[in-house]
Amino acid sequence: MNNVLSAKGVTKLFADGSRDIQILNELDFDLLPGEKVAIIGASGSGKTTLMQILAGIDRPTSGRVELFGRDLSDYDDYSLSKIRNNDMGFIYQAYHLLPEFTVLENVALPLMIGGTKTREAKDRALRILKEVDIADRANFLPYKLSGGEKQRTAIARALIINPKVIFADEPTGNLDYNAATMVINQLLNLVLDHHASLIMVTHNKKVAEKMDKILLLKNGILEQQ
Amino acid sequence: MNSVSLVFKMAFRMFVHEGNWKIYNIFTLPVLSITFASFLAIASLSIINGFDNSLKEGLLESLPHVRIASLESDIADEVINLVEQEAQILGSASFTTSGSYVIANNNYAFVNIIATSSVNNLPSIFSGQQVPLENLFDVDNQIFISSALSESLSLKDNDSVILYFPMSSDSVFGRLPRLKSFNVQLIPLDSLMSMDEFLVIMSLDTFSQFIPSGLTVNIVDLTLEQPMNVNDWNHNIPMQFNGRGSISYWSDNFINLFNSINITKSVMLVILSVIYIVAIFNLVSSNLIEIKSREKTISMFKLLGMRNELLISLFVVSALFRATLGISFGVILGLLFSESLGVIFNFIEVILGGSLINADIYGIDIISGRLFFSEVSKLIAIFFCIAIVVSYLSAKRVTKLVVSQVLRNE
Repeated sequence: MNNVLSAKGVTKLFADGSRDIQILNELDFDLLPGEKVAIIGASGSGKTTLMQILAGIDRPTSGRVELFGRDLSDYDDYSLSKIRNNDMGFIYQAYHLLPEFTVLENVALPLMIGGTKTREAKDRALRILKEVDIADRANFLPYKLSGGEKQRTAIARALIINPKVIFADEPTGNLDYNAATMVINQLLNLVLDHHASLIMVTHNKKVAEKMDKILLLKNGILEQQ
Repeated sequence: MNSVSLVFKMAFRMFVHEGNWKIYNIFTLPVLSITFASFLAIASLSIINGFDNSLKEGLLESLPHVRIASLESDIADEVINLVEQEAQILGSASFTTSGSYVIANNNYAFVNIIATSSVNNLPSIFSGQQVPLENLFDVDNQIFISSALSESLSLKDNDSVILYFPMSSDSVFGRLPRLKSFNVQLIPLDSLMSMDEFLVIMSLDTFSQFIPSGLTVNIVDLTLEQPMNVNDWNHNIPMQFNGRGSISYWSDNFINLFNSINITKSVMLVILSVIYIVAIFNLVSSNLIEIKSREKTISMFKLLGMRNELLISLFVVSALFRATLGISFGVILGLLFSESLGVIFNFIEVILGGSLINADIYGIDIISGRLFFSEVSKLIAIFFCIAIVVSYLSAKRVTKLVVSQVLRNE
């Protein structure tokens, strides 16, 4: 089976004054289609940096990352935008919903950016909002939502394009236990339904245990748990 | 098309600040400063145009619009025919006289005196009509004036009036104006054409006493219905009289004055453009602040697959909403100011207790605002072009945003 994502010998250095700090050290990583991987590690261990490199948001100092069998450094801005719009979903701890847009519009946005007609985009958005049980909030502005509802909106926005891979950075970080459990369960179900792969950066071991694979990032390398 | 509507929709939502239609969210500093600069530009344009126009109107009331002077004995009939032809083409009317002199009887007025045709001694009234001289001027010391003119001069039939002629005569007291007493005879208005209301007719014999001997009256003054379009008359008349005399247009006589007004206007517009550019810097800074405050949103847009061009368009359109609002309000205020300039002028004069314009110098004592559609449109177009350029340059900042850093720092 072809890897959705593959990283070979990825190293990342950050300049700190006159010296370099090595965050990732010759790291290898593979993600299979439909696979759900949790990346755990201590604060500052480089989990988010790794996720950003795997998603093509950041570039490694050395090593290569292949997305769908193609080196990420081969993608220009346009094709990277296109691939993000078609195949990649992002979920963040801070939700990053657009405050001026309703829940429905926020969820429909990736489709509209991709050129889908507004009416069709909104129909599909409403369907996926039903899947995450917040269709009744469709016309609310984000500031009227609870944390759990905001994150479910973000999940719906990530999944509306039927992405091949979803990157989730601490998706339950701002939620209480009950809300976190509900959100994670919904996310995992939807990932399964949409046949997507999932890379999740988390501190929460209970959440991590729900994944197919748990990788610990320590000293710049990944160790399978 | 979908992206365009999406960009407009998103920019509009950003412009109205999260759907919150509070007045202070919309009338931000850049909007207010652009409003002020646009208003200043339109208002100043209105004032200087109004001054220019009032000055011209003042001059046009007392000056011939076109003067044709020829050394040939009689050019009046020829000019009348030509003017009539031109009038048909241009929809203008005119009348002709041989000169302008002063009539006095407590009041003074400029009047036009017909005394032409050295060939057959017949005065040419208008349109080539020939009226036998003896029917009109059977008494040497009579003067015929229109009833309209008699009213404005408070003259009645058989009143006595003294005419002063500017051509002076030598006397023991030095050079004195020529003068003669006349008996007034009124001509009913309905027997005259409307443009002849200020006609004065006198005997050619009498008239000839007041002009140097042997000099034929050879000046024709034209009054145009639309003297501002005097250049439209430049086609046929010069061709007809080229080399036989000189033609002067009212605008030529004051070319330096009007040039200086135009230069003042240009300098003023340059200064106002600088003020506008200063105002537009507020737009740049607000755009940069907007981009800075929305870094995470922009990063998210990028992760959702929005291309840089679309992001730039988004912030350009958002800035242009602000510029449009500012320019629109500024222009509307400027138009209102222009419409009520006369009232404002009077009000200020009442408050200050004096005159803002010295009528002795300029010949006018009030200015009413005046704007030309073409000038206002040009000004708006220039303002928009500047706004588009600065919005684009500032919106390009979104391309420099490093998504990984923005999202790492949350």
